Amino acid sequence: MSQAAAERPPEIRKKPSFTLFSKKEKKTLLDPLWDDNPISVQVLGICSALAVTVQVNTALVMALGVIFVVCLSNVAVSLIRNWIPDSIRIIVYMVVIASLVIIVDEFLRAYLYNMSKMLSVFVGLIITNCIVMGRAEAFASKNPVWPSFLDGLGNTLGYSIILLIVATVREILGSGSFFGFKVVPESLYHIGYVNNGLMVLSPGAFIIMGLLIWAQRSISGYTEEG
Amino acid sequence: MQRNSFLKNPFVFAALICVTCSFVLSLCAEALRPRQEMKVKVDIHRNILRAVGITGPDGGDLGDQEVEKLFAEKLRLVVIDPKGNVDEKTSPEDVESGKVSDRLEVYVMEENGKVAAYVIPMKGTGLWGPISGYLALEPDCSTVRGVTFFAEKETPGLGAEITHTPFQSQFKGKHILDDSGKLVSIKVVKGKAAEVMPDALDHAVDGVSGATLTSNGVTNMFSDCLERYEPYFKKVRKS
Repeated sequence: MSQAAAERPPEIRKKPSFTLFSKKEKKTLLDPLWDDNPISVQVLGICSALAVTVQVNTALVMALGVIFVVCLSNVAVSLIRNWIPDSIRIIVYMVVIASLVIIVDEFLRAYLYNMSKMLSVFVGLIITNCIVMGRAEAFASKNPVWPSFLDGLGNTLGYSIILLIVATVREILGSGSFFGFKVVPESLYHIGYVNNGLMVLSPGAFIIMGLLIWAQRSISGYTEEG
Repeated sequence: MQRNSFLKNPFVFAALICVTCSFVLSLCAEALRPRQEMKVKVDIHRNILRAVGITGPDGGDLGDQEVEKLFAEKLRLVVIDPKGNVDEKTSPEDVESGKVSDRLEVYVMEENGKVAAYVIPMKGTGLWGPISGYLALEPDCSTVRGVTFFAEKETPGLGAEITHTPFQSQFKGKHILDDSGKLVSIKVVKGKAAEVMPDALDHAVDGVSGATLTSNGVTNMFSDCLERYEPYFKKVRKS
């Protein structure tokens, strides 16, 4: 008893120095939102960004799914990073990621059945989203659990922001609605306004995405190294 | 250290990961299955109710419990054999789950002790994948009371327009029989029905522009399914 009590003080003294967000961790979380955005800077995860952004609500559910998968896969990979044999590490990431994606899919089917019908194969395709695998290999396999979690959260938030912007533009221009509610007034249709059919098709997403990347890069000054 | 290197053997590690993940997944799937099956069933019932014209306020979706209550109140599933006779020996569950394949399903809606509508499921092929739907007929087995379509794979804005109210509401009041009582089904024409088939407006609806193949899919789905159900409907009309 007395021995344990004697040993405790140094531990307690250590605690105050532990903060939830050190400067580096803040950077881990916030960088991917703007300076290192997975979509507009790294140009990853484009396929799903094109497929699920016809409506804002599907994009939102997809974004939440990806946030869940990447955060947990980063945590899981980080937890076992010292045990993963190098030769099979990619397969191990894959198994962890695929399991998490299946869990998301099962929950969607049980609780948001309509949504899961709309997202159909694209939930399953989170497995092949380059952001998920990329974060596991590039960050989680080399860093402790908490920074890995923040890295996953930051990257997927950066992904979600772009997804939601694209979906907002596409839904308003393509279907005249936002979150399923009509926002383009009926009277506008009477005087000859029509929804832009291009926006509901994938090329529409390409154009919006291209404009976004252009806008983001001209503000941040980022250029690809030639 | 000994334990550590044992774990680091790729085969051991792979086996461990696989067993852990499959355990978690089967647990998850098993726990959620009843709810998933219930959702699928409620969704079918909701769409059948939509076909007969029962929807939530402003054409929105009804809640799960409301759907089940109304469905149990008004509709019952009747199994019929290919000759059009009511088959009371086959249980509806076996047909719904696909165990018995040569039987047809008819949902009979009753109100105040009288038949108010017949609803049949339809299955067909669109441009990119399967399309399906429910067709509700008035007790005369000819007038369309309502339809619902599903087309998850069709192009949004083009083929997928068949899942929206403006297209579906066109079917209301059309007839599947001509004046002499012959089955003519309903055709989705290319363009405006009033211009293409002005003398058969009773059996035609406007097509979706830019989605001719999906429209043709709907036309074929109607004629295929109605043909199969015609023996049963003939018997109903006679009685």
